[in-house]
Amino acid sequence: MPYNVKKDSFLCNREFSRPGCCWYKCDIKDESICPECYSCYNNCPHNVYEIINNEPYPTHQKNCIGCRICEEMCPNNAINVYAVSDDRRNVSSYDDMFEIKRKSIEGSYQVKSMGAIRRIPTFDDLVIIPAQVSRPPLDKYREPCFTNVTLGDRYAEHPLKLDTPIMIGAMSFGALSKEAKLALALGSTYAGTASNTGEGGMLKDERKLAKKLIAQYASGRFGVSADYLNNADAIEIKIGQGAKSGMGGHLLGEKVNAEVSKIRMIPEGSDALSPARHMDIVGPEDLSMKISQLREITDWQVPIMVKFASGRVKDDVKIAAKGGADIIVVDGMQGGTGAGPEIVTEHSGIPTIASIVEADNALKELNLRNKVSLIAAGGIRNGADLVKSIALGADAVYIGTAALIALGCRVCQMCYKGNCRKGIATQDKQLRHRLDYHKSGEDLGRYIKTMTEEGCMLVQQAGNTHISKIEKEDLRSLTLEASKLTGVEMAGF
Amino acid sequence: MTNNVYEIDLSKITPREANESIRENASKYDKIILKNPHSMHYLIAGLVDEVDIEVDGSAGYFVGTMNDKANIKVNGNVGWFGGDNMTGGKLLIEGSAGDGVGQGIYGGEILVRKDAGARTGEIMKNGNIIIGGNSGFMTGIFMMGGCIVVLGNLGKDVGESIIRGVIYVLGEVESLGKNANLIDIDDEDKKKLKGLLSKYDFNLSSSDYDNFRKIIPKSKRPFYGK
Ligand SMILES: Cc1cc2nc3c(=O)[nH]c(=O)nc-3n(C[C@H](O)[C@H](O)[C@H](O)COP(=O)(O)O)c2cc1C
Ligand code: SF4
Ligand code: SF4
Repeated sequence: MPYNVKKDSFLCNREFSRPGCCWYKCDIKDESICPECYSCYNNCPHNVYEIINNEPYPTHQKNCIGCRICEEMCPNNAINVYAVSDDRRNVSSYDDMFEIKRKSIEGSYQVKSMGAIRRIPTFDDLVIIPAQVSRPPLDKYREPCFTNVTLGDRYAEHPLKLDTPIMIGAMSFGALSKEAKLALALGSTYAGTASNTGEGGMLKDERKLAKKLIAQYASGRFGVSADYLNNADAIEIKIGQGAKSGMGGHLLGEKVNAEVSKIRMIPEGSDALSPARHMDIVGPEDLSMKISQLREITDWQVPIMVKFASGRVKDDVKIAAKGGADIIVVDGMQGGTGAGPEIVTEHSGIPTIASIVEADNALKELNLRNKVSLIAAGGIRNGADLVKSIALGADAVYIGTAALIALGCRVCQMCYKGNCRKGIATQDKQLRHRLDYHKSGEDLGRYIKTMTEEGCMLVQQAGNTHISKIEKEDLRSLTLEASKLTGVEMAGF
Repeated sequence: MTNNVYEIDLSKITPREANESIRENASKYDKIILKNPHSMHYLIAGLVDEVDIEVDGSAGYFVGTMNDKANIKVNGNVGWFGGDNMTGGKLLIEGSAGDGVGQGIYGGEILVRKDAGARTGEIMKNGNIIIGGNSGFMTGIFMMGGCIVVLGNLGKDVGESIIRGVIYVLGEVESLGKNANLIDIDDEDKKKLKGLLSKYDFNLSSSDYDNFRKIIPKSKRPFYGK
């Protein structure tokens, strides 16, 4: 969607005598440089602004992706960003032409961060049907709603016991700053849920702050050791992630500073390139052996999880379940990423709603639905998405992008550049200073609690006392596509 | 408690019971002997204690995975991925090893007295792997650091997409993988090889040391950057 960026020159020049007036309180508090605040120019991640006669102007509007970081950061409220309606030239839209020409000049594909943004069937195509007299609703204000879940009690001595079914998805230290990792850990503890290391090793403070922490085991095996696994409350074997199905995580040498190198146990400045597949998992038998190996290393104490990008969901889920997984994660095509090729993010994988149903059916066909827990991820934002995921068959959900937004992220899609203006996806000390992890951790905790409460409200008005009790039968579809993808009945039929 | 030895008979127990017993006794004894291993998989998994362990026979897949300080000696052969992801300690294999021995190690030393299968030392980041005989195709694939020494021959595509580390070879090299470069060794390398090999009585003459060659990355960043 194109954007129109408007900057009011009068407002822009109205006052420049307040060091620390912008929300991040200036990186360098020096009154003499205030007239050159250039906050929009300095902070726009997409080079929309240009300085003309000592004043920034949004001259490259085509680059704008609508993050509104400039708007948020302008101390003089001089900027407004408007979305303009879609170009209706179909296959030869301005966007298409712009991209073709860009490729012809630059000769490179586009890399981008976060998930797919094109229109696909989502949770918004489904509604939850209210209880009336055929089934009475419950009173949100006077009757209790339970939200606790136990995940992974198939073989693990210590399954994950959480106060809410909303968990923080894997996001690695390296892709994210230390402050962001600590905020995620803190937020998860405030909300009584679990956080996840991602594929970049475990920070000591992250372990301290997260009451429940899942250690990810990805194909690059960065930072993996017996201690790493035994310090965790669950192990997640990452086979894939929705945003870049079939591709390994890549952290470029520029982001591998001394601290990242220590945690990942690789030399400073070296590219941390995870292979597209685990070198020792190339078939069903191998996955089963991997699960057993990790179980032996962790003495059967904690759940072993397997995370998939959503593709051939039924086959993959069956292989993992038969191989002994305690918990399976399916990450839909909307799922976020720190960095991925745009063409893969937008065109590979299936939507989260379809993936959950396929995974749930696969477990039912194996008669393992009550033994294996299912986590859904990809595009989950609020209590409605949570409840719809559970109704479609999930036991819990992961949030990635939404958790980062709670910390301050504006989905500018540039995490891979390493200069995140919000101090989240960066290793730069000055930028990291912009993120107060205590405060953002609290923000995240509050967001998860509120989202859980929203979920409760929907479940209660549908006549249930426990968030896990909502079923597919309690949903209706508003679109034929979503109905066909999920098997949810059309509304009104 | 010096030099006390504990024996575990593996013939009637599961890998879980075997590992539990090893873990429980590793801090109490100087040495553990594993009798009747019958190529059991996942033996000595995730052990972080310092102890000598002797496997009296052959071991299956993933023996000594994530070993951190133990000195493990296997009297027979081992299956695939022996010493996987070790962070320290030693794994001495008197026989042969299957594919992927020393996969992803961060530290420690692995010795395979006879031959090793394919993809020896894949994605290893540090540590040493010594193969007394031949090593199969794609030895050192995606290697990110550390050192592999092969006294016999190397199969196809050696050092495929290697970005750091070194593979020394005394015998023939069938072919090189992408980003791999085969060059002569220098005096520093000879010193390093002598240090590594002399403790394992391979009976190498000083002219043998002159005949080693080494495989190193052409570029440290073949995919991104400079
Ligand atoms: C910045 C960022 C880094 C991520 N890093 C990892 C990772 O290391 N391992 C992984 O399995 N998934 C990773 N993911 C994907 C998330 O774990 C999760 O599957 C996804 O974000 C869920 O979709 P959502 O962002 O729409 O909530 C990352 C996502 C983001 C946004
Ligand atoms: S900061 Fe974001 S909204 Fe503002 S111009 Fe740049 S891309 Fe557009
Ligand atoms: S984390 Fe930072 S760089 Fe990444 S999308 Fe959010 S604001 Fe942009």
